[in-house]
Amino acid sequence: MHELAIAEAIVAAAERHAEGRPVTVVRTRIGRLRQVVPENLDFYFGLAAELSELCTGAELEWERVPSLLRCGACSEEWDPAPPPAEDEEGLIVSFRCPACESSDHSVVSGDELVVESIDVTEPDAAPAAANGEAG
Amino acid sequence: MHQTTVRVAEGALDANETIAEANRADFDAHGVRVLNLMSAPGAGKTSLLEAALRDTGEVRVGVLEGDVRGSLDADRLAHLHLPVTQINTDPAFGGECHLDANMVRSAIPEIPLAELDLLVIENVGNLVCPAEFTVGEHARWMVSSVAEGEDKPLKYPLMFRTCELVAINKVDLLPHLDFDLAGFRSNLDQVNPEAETLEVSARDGSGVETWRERLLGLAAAG
Repeated sequence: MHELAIAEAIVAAAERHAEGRPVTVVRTRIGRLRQVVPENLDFYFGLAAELSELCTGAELEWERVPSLLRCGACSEEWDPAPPPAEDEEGLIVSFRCPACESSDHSVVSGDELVVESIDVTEPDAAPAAANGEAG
Repeated sequence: MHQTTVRVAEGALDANETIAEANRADFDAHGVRVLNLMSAPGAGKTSLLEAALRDTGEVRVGVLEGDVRGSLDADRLAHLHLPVTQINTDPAFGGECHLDANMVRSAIPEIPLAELDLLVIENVGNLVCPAEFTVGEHARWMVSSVAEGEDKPLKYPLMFRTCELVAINKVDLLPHLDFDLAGFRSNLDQVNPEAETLEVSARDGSGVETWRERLLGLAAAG
């Protein structure tokens, strides 16, 4: 459900950058540390886009960004949220350094929730003003 | 007609962040510290506020209540004679399940900021969405009740990761439950090794004095 609010935010960002042109594709990057299920986001994106002026029918594309943390004490890097194993034993997350157990860490990647780019439809520029033919 | 790619490179929630910054600037201008208090529905946010805010001493406290509908929580706090402002999220698309910065922004004119040292924002009960949307707060705390089970930090890591303090409520129920307190702490440590915890019971009052001191202490943290 919570992907609806995020989908609305993505549509709003796309509309701000579209400058009045119809949007056909919205490309996003979604880090694995965000609680966003891309398939759910896709569903709600469809609903939010439907209600928007410029994004109706637009397609959502996403790139999943892996999570990576770096230890502030020993510089070890690790993935705190490995993809769930097939037997659903995937709840292994740890934000404590596996090498030295320090709790001091920074996020290298995985926090992304970014609208990277959009494709918009533009009328072809008329070769000459006198031509008068619509694009 | 042809397709053009436009680079956006913008966080989807950047617009919310910008409004949250504006809220924070308003709070700072009045010297008001703001707590965003979050939990699952029924964890006991309102009960713990009721218990703590009976006596606020020198600290002038206000509450902003976020609910999908109605003013039940605000009504419960009415006897405390504190300024309580209610936001209902239901005029939005079907009733938003969280407060966002813009909803708080629209409520600010109704909050007597000049008369407050501390504003507690009681978010909509939900462990998912409120984690994503900041509202201009200075501190983020959670209430997690023992009735919810010890696995919750692993199931809702973003929420538990973004909070500095977790009040473990309803500890009076521990003798009747299979809740594994050590397991909860270990799960919390996995997702947020820096989080502080307080064991409390709004019902029998245990830990409430410490909770109250910590809460009112936020006002001085500026």
